[in-house]
Amino acid sequence: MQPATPIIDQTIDNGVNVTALLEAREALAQAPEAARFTWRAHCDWVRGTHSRTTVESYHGLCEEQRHKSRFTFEVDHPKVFAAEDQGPTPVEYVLVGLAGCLTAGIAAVAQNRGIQLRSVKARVEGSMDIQGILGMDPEVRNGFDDVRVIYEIDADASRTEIEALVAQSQKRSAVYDLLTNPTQVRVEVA
Amino acid sequence: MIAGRSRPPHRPARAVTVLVIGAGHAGLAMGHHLARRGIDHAILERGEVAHAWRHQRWDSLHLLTPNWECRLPGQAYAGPDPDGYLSMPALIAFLDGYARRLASPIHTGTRVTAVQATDDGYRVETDRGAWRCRALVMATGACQVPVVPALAEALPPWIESLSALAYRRPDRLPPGGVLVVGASASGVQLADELQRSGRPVTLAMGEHLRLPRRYRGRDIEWWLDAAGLLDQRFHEVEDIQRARRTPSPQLVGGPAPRDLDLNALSANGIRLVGRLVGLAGSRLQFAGSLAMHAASADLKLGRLLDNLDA
Repeated sequence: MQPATPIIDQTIDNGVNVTALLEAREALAQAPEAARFTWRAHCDWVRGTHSRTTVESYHGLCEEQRHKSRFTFEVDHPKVFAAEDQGPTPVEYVLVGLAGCLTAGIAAVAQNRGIQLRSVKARVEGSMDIQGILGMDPEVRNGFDDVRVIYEIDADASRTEIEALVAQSQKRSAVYDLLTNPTQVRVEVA
Repeated sequence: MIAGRSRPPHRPARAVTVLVIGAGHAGLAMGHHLARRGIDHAILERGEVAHAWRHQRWDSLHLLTPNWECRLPGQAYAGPDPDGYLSMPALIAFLDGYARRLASPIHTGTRVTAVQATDDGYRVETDRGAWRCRALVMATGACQVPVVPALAEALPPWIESLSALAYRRPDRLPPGGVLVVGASASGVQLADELQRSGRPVTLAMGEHLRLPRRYRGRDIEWWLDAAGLLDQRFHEVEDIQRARRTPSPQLVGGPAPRDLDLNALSANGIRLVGRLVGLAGSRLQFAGSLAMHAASADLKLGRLLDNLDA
């Protein structure tokens, strides 16, 4: 993927520690079990369609890990769905995840390729036909039928180099993979 | 059992300095070089010379490399059409002629069943006796084992599935639409042929390599050759694992040069979908990453053409 010994231009700073990432790659090649991560979220129903989910711990590098603080997310539906709108909808959180993942990837790839970023903005849209979730038409799927991400990137690079950054970030994105490929999901009652 | 009649007498393993497995391009070329250096050797071939080209290719196949590129050590293409593309009968005749002129002993109909390292080389078992050698050359080809997705096992019985090695021509398939999985050279060529035979065709594709058949008045292979890309050796490649995973280019040979990229395929009415990733009941699932793979292939092609221009 990347050259083994990249020439890192010290003047380029996107705030990504590429050296640490490349060292991690080397280390994990020797200890693949450390590369198994489990991410967690804990959800509490509040009222109606409003729920509150917290994220704090995860497992990786063979041990329990903790974010530096507990993050809380309000989830609800908007007034047009006859709900209280206490937070974004679940599907909007999916867009948040996709945007965050692709943008992190762009920064990392740009750093590795010695490209200074000045601004990276994305508009993320997912379209769906709510006849699916309302059970009105079995032919209509519940989820997004189309997701679009439009990047506006200002960087010391040609348009082709910027397009290559965006392409490479998709290739290595967890959330892009989650949205474009089927995933085994099990939901049980404890 | 009556001794001496029903089975050959036990023979000790034959010894040779270098043993070559496979009498295709690479094995025959190796034979040429070994003979020139006076190194004692033999070539073992499971079937006939050019076996895979005779028995494991579809009827309409032409090489995707132009005839002038069909050169083996000591033999250049001398026919009337250096810019054409060899059909299978012509390629087999080319390799047969080369093999006949070769000084190497070629043991056809000899299938290798096991290879074992020994103190001074290798012991090679075949269905026609054992060999010993100091050096062994595996010239069995790069794509002899089809990669079939595991979900092929779970397909409903009314769907016939086969690999490119077993495919011959459209009329050998049961009637109806066809899903072609994979859009390297073989995949795009089969999708094209099946669609032209009047069937609805869907082509599932992931990462692929787009190349134009001709560029600035010359075959793309001329440019790759002139730029030295075809002379690159394995130790000169930055990441050999990645290089080995590179799909074969979306190119086709045949009577007249033409493009067989995504534009040409979809203009002909082939439905393009993402990589085949799952089977849920009797519904196949395709990845939603087609646009990304198409954009990546265009970027790579753009970089290649820029380099060729330079």
